[in-house]
Amino acid sequence: MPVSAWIMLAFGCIVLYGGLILCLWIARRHRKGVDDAGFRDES
Amino acid sequence: MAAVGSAVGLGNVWRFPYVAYQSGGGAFLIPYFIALFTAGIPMLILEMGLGQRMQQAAPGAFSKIRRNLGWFGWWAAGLSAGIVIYYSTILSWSWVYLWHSVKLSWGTDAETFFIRQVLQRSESPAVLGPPVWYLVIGMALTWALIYLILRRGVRNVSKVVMITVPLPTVLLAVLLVRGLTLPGAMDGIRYYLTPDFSKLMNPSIWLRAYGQIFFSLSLASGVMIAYGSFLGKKAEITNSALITGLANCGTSFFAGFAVFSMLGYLAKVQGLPVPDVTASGTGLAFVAYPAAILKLPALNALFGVVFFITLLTLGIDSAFALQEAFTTGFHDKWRISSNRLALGFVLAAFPVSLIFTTRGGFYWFDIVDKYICDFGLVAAGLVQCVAVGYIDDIQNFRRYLNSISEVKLGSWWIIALRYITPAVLLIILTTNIWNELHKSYAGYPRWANVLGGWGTLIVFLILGYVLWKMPEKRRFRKEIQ
Repeated sequence: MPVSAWIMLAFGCIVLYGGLILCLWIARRHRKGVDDAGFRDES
Repeated sequence: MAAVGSAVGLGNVWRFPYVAYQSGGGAFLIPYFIALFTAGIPMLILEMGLGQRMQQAAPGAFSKIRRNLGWFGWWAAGLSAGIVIYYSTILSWSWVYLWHSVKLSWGTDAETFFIRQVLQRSESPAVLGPPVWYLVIGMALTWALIYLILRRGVRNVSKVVMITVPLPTVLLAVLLVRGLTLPGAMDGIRYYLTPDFSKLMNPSIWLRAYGQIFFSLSLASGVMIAYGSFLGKKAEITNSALITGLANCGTSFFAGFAVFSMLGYLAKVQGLPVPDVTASGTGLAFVAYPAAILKLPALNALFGVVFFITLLTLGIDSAFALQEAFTTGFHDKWRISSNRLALGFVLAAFPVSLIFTTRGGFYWFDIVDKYICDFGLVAAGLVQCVAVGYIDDIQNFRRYLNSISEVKLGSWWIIALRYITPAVLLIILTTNIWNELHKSYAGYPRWANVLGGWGTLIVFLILGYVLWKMPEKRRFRKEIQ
């Protein structure tokens, strides 16, 4: 594969999967708050 | 998780790889990522935040911004009902192909099998013919599954998506591993990733990137507003929207490898260049992929079954999310139970969807899809940006989101929603209308486009107006009781 294709591959992986891992890590840190929030009141 | 399930769908498997390849391979990824961060994620935050803040689906949420906007909310939610009605057709084809994949019935000519045997396609939209019985069975299975998932409401959905979201990812990984070990796979991957920067100067590439982001993330149809409305008042919004957007685009990127490795193999076997073996949209999933499966050296039937189960699991959570976007508005306004709503919608939608199982149904499917996506959703997205960006107090909205979210929004979010996204949507809408005025879509008779396309949009406008005007009688009665 040409170098430009490798750059695209690295760029996609870093932006998408790196970003996703970072967000999931933040969500995990915030977990307690999310658990507390739950679903809206349906009554 | 449900929002991720809604966003990750069939568009990731067949639409993204096709659009990427048509738009210069790796070069497409640049406008695609820019579209994700300037329109996709800002709109996701807007929609999920709006639903959570108002604790209502699209009709109620827009009514709270300004009463007259309730009509628009019902219209946007109605579009999602329209999408799920024709989207069920793809799932019905998937059921039929799942059955045929056991015996690899499509043989050496997958295209003829799809058009002549599965669709039994007539020569024009004017010739409908009777419904094709096995497509009717596929359609019935799809609606039955949607009903079974939705009858117990959003808590049941949250359990179902724990299976329907990871499963297709695992199955895609299986297909990817198989694809990468085939001869010629790297030719496909090279084609997928190598950028052709000269295509970046072409404005249509940018429009396609924004269009793909909108389609893929289920934006402007009220789905994310409905899912946002299910969240409690303390739920984190900004990070949830980021996870949804990144998971969706990550799946597209991943699916691209699975699809293009197979296409590279198919190109090698047929002795053709990679561009000549791909077909657009449905053709990619139901023609090129079955052809590739047939040519696998071993375990063809198993990989056929795996692929069509992947399509079904990808499609089903998008389908029930779209239905949820519409029916949650009824729950909010009239407090109808989940079971009644799911049953009522399925009983009303199933007979309508049978139009797409007729011999001329493919043409109508194509027309309705084109007009709802290219005109309805784009217009809905534009109105949504104007409603929140200019009519509502967007600064106050941002402060609210920052108060409940760990990831803080900067002024970039307001710039994206007030200027970039509306400008792009306006250009897309103007271009689409211009093209429509100059050439009848796909060479269909003008009357068919007017009836199936504009007619569908007008029906949902009228339906939206009627639903908006109907009084909230039952709710008041229940509250009095």
